[in-house]
Amino acid sequence: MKSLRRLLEDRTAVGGLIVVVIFVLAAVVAVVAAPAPYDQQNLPERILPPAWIDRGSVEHPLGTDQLGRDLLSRIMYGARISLLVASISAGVACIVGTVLGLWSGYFGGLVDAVVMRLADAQLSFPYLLLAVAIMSIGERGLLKLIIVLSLGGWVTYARTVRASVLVLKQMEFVEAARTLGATTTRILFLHILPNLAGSIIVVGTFQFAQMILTESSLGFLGLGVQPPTPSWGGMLSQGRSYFSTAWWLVIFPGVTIMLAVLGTNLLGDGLRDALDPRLKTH
Amino acid sequence: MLSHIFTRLVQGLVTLLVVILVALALVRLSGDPAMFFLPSEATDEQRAEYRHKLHLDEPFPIQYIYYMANVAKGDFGMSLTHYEPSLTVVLRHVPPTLELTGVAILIALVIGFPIGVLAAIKMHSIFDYVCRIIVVLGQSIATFWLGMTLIMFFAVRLHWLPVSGRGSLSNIVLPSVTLAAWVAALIMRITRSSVLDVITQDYVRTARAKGLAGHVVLLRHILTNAMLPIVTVVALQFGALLGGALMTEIVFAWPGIGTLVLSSVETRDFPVIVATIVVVAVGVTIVNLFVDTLYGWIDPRVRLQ
Repeated sequence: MKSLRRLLEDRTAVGGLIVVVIFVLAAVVAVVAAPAPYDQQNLPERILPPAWIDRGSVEHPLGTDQLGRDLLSRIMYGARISLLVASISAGVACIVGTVLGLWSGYFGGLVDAVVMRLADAQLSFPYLLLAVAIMSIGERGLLKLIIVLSLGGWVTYARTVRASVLVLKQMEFVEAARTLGATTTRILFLHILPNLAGSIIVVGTFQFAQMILTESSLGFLGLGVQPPTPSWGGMLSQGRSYFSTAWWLVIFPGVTIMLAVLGTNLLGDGLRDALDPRLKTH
Repeated sequence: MLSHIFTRLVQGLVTLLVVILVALALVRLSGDPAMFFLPSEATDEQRAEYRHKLHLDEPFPIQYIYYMANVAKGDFGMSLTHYEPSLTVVLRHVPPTLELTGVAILIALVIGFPIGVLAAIKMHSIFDYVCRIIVVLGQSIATFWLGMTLIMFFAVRLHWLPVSGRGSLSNIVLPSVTLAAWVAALIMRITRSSVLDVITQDYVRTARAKGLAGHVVLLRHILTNAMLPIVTVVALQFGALLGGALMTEIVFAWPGIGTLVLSSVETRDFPVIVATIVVVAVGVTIVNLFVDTLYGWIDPRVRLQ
């Protein structure tokens, strides 16, 4: 595919892709490849530094936390949670946002007005604050986290899809399809939607990165995934008290978050450039 | 121009109404006020009477109207932990947040704007690369992690700056720099793309062809036209900026809205949480209205409509 080749020529995008693949692999093989189970406490070996500093051991390549749990394993398991939550949330937001965007763009009318007002209302407000409020009232839980994250994400999908649909529905191939008697459903899903695939993928990638960040922020505040399930944000929050003596407890999870988000963002940039060369490139 | 302002006003009101609706839903979901606010010795009758007084037995739309009336009066109920009205508590925490946000935006502008402009003018130069790196990094780093790392390095290890809190000039350095990182990345990105857009326009080519000196072209034609989208985007991202400020304040124990939200979450002080949401919504709406009006006034195409 032309786009794929164009993507692979962009070195930073390929770098991002490699990073993302590494994270996915780490998440998948965590169960078998991690040095130790993430919840295996080993109090005699608590707060060990990474292997290359004295007192560290190769058994715990990145050190251990305050309960003796291996840091590398917790980071790998944390990847499972972060990637899982981010991808499901991005998926739900994608479906909801795309459907609303399609409807708004193609049919206009009351639905369009309502959806767009809602979208504008949500965009202007700091979403993190709303997420914190919603998560703090009522019980925590994975499902609630996913719903809250999806709520944050649908707007960008809806707006992007709507803008594209407004342009596409004027085009001749749509008119041709209509003349040939295609039903509206058929036009929407077989003619318009495939042309949106590019932008949806790009938006999805950036949303994914954003959701990893939001999930870590919520985890840092204690509002995300609950212990003992490891989450990068939660590890940062716990490691904070030990920062001055055990810097690895904060630095490594933080760098992990940064790499995951960075890789995804670079991949997203590359995808955007590859999928729509008509955009003014830098 | 007036119709433009009017549309924006309506939009702002819609935002507020939606936020108040969400706030009310959260308030109702957070539990039964009759259990929170009345002493434990209260009888069931007294609780039922209390619920009736708060209109809890009426259908939701009616409750919404009563709630809106209360909000308009500024009545969000008493805070569950501080012995004062929730609104007072929230408003007390607003100035520090504004201070932090303001300084961060200032730093980000001073750093981000020149680099963004230079990156656009001299493509593929060192400025361009620095700009692109900072843009990508600034949007990928978790603000709270950056804050913690900066504390570790500059406060704990080097003892150059205080660890947390608000007070003297040195207190504001680390928090504002932490928050500015993200904002600077945004400003650099927008400035660069905005200036690039403008540079390729015909009127710039004409100005240069007329023989105008480079810096005259830059100031009079390029920057004035590039300014608009920059201002708009930054103002539109104000909401996201507040989110970043939230996390920064928490890390630095800066006594603003962020710290208030965290402590309210931990102590389950729901009236304060809800009051915070509404206050922030009002603030953001005002900022958006102001920027939209400013935009409408500056941009002659809108002004002359």
